[in-house]
Amino acid sequence: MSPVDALNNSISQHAGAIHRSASSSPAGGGPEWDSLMRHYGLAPLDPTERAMIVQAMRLSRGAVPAEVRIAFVGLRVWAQRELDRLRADPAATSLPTFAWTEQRVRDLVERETAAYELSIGIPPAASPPPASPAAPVAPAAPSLASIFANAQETSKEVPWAGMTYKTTTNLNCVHCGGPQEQPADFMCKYCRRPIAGTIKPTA
Amino acid sequence: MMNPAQQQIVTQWNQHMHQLGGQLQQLLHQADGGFQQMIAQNPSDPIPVNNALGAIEHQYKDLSEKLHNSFDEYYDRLCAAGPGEPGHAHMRCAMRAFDRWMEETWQRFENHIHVSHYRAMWPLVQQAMQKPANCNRCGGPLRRATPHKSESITCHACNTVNQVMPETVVATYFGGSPHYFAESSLIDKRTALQKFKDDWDDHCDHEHAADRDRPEEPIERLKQREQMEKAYWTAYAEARVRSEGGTPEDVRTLVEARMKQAFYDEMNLNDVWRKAHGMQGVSEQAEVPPHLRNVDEWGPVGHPQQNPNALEDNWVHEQLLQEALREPERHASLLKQLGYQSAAHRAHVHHTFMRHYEGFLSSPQGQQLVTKAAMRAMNERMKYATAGAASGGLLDPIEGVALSVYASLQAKQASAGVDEFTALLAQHQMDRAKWDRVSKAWLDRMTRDTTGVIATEYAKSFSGGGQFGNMGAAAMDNMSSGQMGLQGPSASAESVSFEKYCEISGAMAAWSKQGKDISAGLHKHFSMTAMDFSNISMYWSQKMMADMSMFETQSQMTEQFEKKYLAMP
Repeated sequence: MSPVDALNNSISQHAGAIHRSASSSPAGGGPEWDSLMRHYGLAPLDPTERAMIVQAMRLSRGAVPAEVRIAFVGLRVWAQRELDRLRADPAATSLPTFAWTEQRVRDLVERETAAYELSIGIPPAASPPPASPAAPVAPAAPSLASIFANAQETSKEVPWAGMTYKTTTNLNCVHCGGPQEQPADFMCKYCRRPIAGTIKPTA
Repeated sequence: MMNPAQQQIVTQWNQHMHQLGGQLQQLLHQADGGFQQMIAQNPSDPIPVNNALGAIEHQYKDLSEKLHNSFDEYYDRLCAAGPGEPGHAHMRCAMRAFDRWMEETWQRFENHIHVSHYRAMWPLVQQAMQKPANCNRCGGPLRRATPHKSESITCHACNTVNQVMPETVVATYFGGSPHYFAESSLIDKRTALQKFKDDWDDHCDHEHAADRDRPEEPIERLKQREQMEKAYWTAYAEARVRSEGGTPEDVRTLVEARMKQAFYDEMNLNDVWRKAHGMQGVSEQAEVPPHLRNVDEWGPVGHPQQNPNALEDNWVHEQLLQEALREPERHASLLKQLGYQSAAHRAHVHHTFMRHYEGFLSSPQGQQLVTKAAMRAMNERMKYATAGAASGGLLDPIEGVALSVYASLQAKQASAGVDEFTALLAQHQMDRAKWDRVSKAWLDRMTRDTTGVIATEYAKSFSGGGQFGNMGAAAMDNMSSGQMGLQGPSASAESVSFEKYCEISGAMAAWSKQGKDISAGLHKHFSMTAMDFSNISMYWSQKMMADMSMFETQSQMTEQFEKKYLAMP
């Protein structure tokens, strides 16, 4: 099994455990869910807030979606770290499943939380009405996750991304090919002509 | 005294601020984790961190705006429940303290992220500086003396001169870190200074609430503020110059420039300060003695029957002199240049014009005339400032390199390869080491220039390149000929439509809120560079100044496009 496949298996196992524990809990969570949160080192919400969410979302069963999301965020952080580790290995990045895994990790929180909500009977949020071309509806402020993802991804899209610059250069006469041999002397020592082809005024 | 209903409203206002404060803390706490991860992933590249910081700053500003926008709602409720004061004063003082806390919290956060980033970068910088450099021609070893700067080193083996530049990570570190390292130790001082100013405003609000006049800030307090400002800017300049290199003179000039902008420009319009320094008060200067109030004095402007533009010229003089008031020496010299004997003489001339034309000036034609005069004054001001800067040596070449040469080389550097740019420098008799020195010196001079002349002159030579260079050049021609705001640049240069300009502006606003890289977006969506957009923007900004009605259209269209781009994935 390749390390990428192994990572995918682990993600599936952890995600499955979160789903099982969350959806089998009584409304607002229970001892099993609490112990899973503890296992992952995650802080649960305040009990009052839990109760408020149960009431507001009319939950009849299952841990509160906000906590389930926190668990998936934790899983994503771990998976991302593993992916970054694999990124250093060309054998792993050349595998066709690598790009797919990157995408899977990127969407993990949204996808798995939505799947969990569906599993406990919370209907998916209605799609926003199509924006009118004349006056499109203002979307909500971008989420922190999308800000970081955008900042990371788009900085790689600049035309100079990945370019390396040589840090040592020298001047060779455009007329005879002779090298510059005296710093700050821009006349060729060999043919006595401007080494860069011309001399332009500076003031 | 507030009644119980009002006390409850003020409590709710405090709770509202407390909630917003909680939101800010939560935002920054969550963002911090993201930044630390990002820094760990890109220790050498500040661009992703800067893009994300820009987007988080928008959210911080949105919270602050939300607070200010809700003030009226609470105040209306307060007034509906009883007299506005003293509840209003309580609300204002609380908001002032909260604003200060928000700003300090944001500054500390922003600085912490930058400093964390530069600290994470440092091991890579050290590593890069220790890398051996070899002769480009024969491969022989080169001995570097200052690996964080460009050097010309002659190879001992083959005698060839090598121009060795710092690695990108080294240049990034030494280019960006001095400011943030200097700032990190000064946030306390800046906050204390702001609190000192706020305390006075709080006192004034309480006096007003008690039905007394808002008092003038006494000179002792203004002098104390001057000392605090000076201590702050001196500490900043010393720390910055220590990090990036420089002389005590560099510290002195930086402190002088910042003090002028942060303190003296304001104090020179403050009557208490003026009187304590032997200057006439601002309002006194404009007073005409009773015995001259009915005597006409047309001064250097001339009688409207002799000068058909007299009324407009008078307003040009008024605008020019009003703006110069914050610099008493410049004001005195301008009075003379314009042909006035004294400030009292000028006041008399203006009084004469107002006595005869005040009614006309409030008509639509009169307003048009005042607007036109404001535009003319803007062009004249630039002309005077440029002449003053030139005669004061501000535009003198640095190491023999004129500002125009520096700016045009800067514009070419972005698109030139390393060898191409080295050859270009050689044509101007410069190696990389000299270029770096000249660039830093011009930048330092620009940082200390409080007139804006260097930046304007720089823009004239920087623009004009690239695919939309004709638009930038047309804008600069218009500005140079003193027509800014009076007419737009030549329409023949218009290669990008107004709508497209608004679309790009809206897209850029959206990207910055989303943390997207603006250069990448310009390249991807519009096949252009930041310099291309700068040329387009200069052209359309001047078109709008010549036709103010375009500003509203621009604002609406830009907003629509911003929404469109925000909705894009």
